[in-house]
This record gives sequence, structure tokens and C-alpha cells, in this order.
Amino acid sequence: MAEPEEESQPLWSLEKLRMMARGNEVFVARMQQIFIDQTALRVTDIERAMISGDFAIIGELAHKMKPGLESFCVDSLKETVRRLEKWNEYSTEENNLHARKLVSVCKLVLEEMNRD
Amino acid sequence: MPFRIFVVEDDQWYGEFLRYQLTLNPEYEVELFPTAASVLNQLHRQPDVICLDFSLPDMPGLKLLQKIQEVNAEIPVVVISGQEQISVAVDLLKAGARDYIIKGDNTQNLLWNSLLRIRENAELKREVAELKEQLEEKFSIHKSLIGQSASMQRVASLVEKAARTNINVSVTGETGTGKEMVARAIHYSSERRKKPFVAVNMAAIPKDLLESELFGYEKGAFTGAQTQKKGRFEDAQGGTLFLDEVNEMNLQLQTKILRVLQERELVRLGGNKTIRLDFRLICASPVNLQEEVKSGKFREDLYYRLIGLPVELPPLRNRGNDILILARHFSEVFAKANKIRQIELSEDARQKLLGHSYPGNVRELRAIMELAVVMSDGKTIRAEDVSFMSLGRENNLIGQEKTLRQYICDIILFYLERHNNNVVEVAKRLDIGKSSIYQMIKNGEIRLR
Repeated sequence: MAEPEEESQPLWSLEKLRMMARGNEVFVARMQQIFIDQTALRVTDIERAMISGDFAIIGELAHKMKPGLESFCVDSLKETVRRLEKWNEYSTEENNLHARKLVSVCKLVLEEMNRD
Repeated sequence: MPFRIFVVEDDQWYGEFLRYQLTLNPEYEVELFPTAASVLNQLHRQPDVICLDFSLPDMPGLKLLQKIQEVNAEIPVVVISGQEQISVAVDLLKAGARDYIIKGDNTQNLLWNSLLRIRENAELKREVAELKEQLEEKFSIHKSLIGQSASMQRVASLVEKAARTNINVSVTGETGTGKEMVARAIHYSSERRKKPFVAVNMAAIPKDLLESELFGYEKGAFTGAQTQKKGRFEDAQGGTLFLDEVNEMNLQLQTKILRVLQERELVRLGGNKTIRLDFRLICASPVNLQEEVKSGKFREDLYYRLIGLPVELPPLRNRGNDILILARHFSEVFAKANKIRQIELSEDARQKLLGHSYPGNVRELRAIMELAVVMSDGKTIRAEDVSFMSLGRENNLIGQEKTLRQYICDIILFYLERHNNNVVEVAKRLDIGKSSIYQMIKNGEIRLR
């Protein structure tokens, strides 16, 4: 299902969502689809904001994505999202780095989800 | 009835996620709103609670909270946000949010607990409102003042006048005539009915504690004053203060009460802060206060402050057929309490009730009827079920209109009952001939039991 990272951890997982859904696979499927649709739009918005260097918008978008990313166990982005939320504590270079990571991991997750 | 929850969340994913979590409880009915404007349009549907996201696209969460409160401050609002800053949470809670929950792994549990508390609180409020309505109904004028005699109709008319205004009321009447009932009827029929009704019996409180009980005290005001305590005047704020047996106040306390009534403010014992008061005063006395003034036991200036609208309650013995109306009322009450369907009063029971003088007035009649219901066969209360306990038969004898011969027969019968129908003994005690007694028995004037 998920391409193993260096540490052999899956990039994302339905485990937590399934636990919350208490066996309702219809709900799980619906939530997954909404996540795919929303994340795709947000990734585009983040890339646009990166061009203009608007980290306030990137921070806001990261904040909005946080619950979904947590529910799909995208643990590799936990710290990234936290830093982007507090973007004004970091330099432009660091913010760009985090934004790029957010975009690339999200794209990977979407690719795997759509493949599955 | 479903518990209606409005969730205001612009993030579709999180909104659906919350809706699903909440509807796991089948009693919850959840509606999603993506914007502040969309939920403000639906506030007339009076949801039981609103859960809103702090960061909405069309309005900041704090402003939306304020707008919701302008429309209906009773709707509890729970803010769910990713903002972890304490200052944000504090501002929202100060602005009236019921709870603030940070989005995270534990959101579901925190939200469920919060909603549970809100529901319990709403239930309690509903119960209190229902109980208050029941009190208003129970102490409404027509339910409190039972009776059709001219004197009671006059009382009812005065009570209605008092209830429409803010005037002080003084209620006089013998013990057991219903002075507190009248005070409650006035309070629960007035605009003050949603506020407290505080009753103080001046005779029941030790004299050296009366002042602290009425005025309250600050911590350390005297030995034993471990904490600050509000007095009864403050307890009645906005409502009605009923002072029963005001004649029991000593002159020193009367002076202090007079000042409170004049200035409508007080200072607690040991304190220095003036507290403004707003209450209606109803006082009651079993004795004529004017006589107390004349004898120097009651201050004249206080009397004129207290008198307000005077209501005099007639003794039960002067209320004629009200005795039977009340007896029927009490028999129904006690029959219901003892799970008896319907209980009638026999003609002989009615006559017996009408013949008593009721020194204990309505309170006594109530006790008589409670016992009568229990002693009855469950369908009819007969004369033998009716017992008068107050001051013995002598009062009963005096209360009726009879010939002297009839009174003599009653007295002899009373003594015969007491002495096991021993005619010789009774004749000796009453200093009359035993043949007189035998003759009365033979004539049927006295019927031995």
C-alpha cells in the first residue's frame, strides 16, 4: 500500500480513521475522498503562495490540513506542519524548506491513495 | 427529543469528521454550516448547542460568538480550534464561550464530555423552570386561598391588589389561619415571582442571633464568624421577604429594621460596605400590632412602615361553609397521597366538622382530615372518623349553639365516657343525683357508647 520510508514506516495509514469509524467503511471511503480532493487543492494553493513568498497563507493552509494529516497518520509531516504554523519564528529559507516538504509528501500520499 | 447541534466549520473534511463523531450518539442531531453567515441565518431554530471553528473565512470566531449572543445568549457555544494560544482561549471564555477545545487526538472525548455537561446543565435549568412554574401554580391565588365566604373573597381581592403592586403587606390572624400562604400567594402572583421568596420566623430564631441572621456578617465579625455570610435581606434581593411573628422583635432590632426599610440599604455585621436592597416586605403577626404599639412594645414609626396593605385573615370558625370546602379539599389531597381513589364525607361527618370551633384554624382542620382519611373505610369519612384533638371536648361544647339542657347532657356524657359509664362515680364528681343521670339515659337524652 504505502512506499516504505527509510525507517520502513508507511507514509500514511487508514488505521486511525478506521478505529474512529468503528467499522463504517463507507464513512472511511468518503473521508478519504474528501481528503484527496481538498489536499490536491491546497497543495496547488501552497505552491502558488511559495512563488509569492506568502508564508502567512502557507501557515494557514498547513493549519487547516493538520487534522486530516493526523487522521491519516502522515506522521512525517507532524513537525513540518507545526513549524509552518509558526512560520514567523523561522527564516525564509527554513520556511521554504518546510513548505517544499509538505508539498512533496502530500503529493506522494495522494499518488498512493489514488493508486490504491 | 433530539439534542440539536450546529457545527460551523469551513473545512469540509473536519466538518464531516465532527458530524460523524457526534452522530455516533443517536440522540444528537447534527447540522453542518460552512460559514458564519449561514449559521446566523438559522439561529431562529434555537439549536441546543453551537460548535464553531475559531477561523472562519467570513468572520472571526470571537465576532461570531458575540453575534450569536446578541441574538440568543442562552445558546451555549463551544469553540473548537487549532489555536493553542492560551490568550485566545481566555478571550473566548471571557466573552461567554462555554468551552474551548483544541483540535487534536483527544477532540472527540473532550467534545463529548463538554456536550454532556451542557446537556446536564440544560436539563437542570429546565427542571428548575418547571419547578418554579409548579410553585407559581401551587401558590396561585385561587389555589392558595380556598373558600367562598365573603371574608375570604375580601382577602383574595386584597391579595390580588397587593400582587399587582410593590406595596408592603401586613397579615394578621390567629395561628393556623394561613398567613404564610397569603404571603406566598402574593409573591407568586407578582412580578417578583421568579425571584426568591424568603421566610423568616422571628420567634424561631434565638434573639441574640436574629440580627446576624437578618443582616449577615463579614468574616471575623464575631467569634465563630469563620466566613462571610449573606443575611436574609440580601437573600431576598429582587424578591419577597416574609417576616413572621414580627411582634417578637425587641426594640433594639426594631430600630435597625426601621433604618433598613427607610434607606433600603444595609451594612453587614463587621462590614463597612453599603449594600443596596430591592425587595417587597410582607410581615405577619398573630397579635394586633396597634395594641403592641400602645403598650410600648412596638415602635410606632416601624408599625407605619410595616403596615402597608393590611390583610386580616378570619378565624376558620367564622368562615361558615368554607369549613366543608376545605375539608373536602384536604380529604382529596390525603386520599391521593394514600392512594385512595375517591373519598366522600358523610352527612354526620359534615355536621360534626361544622360544629367545631377550630382554635388551630385551617392547620387544625388539615390535621383532622389527614387522620380522618386514614381512619376511614377508604370510601366514606364518617363522624366517628373525625377526631378533635384541640383542648378537649370543652371547646367543642362552647363553640356550638345549644340549650342549657343539651349542654348538661353533653357534659354528663363526657364524664361517663371518661369513667367507663360508671354512673355512681360520675354523679359523685358532678355533685348531682345519680337518678338524674339514669333518667336522662332512660329518656334517650344521653346515649351510652
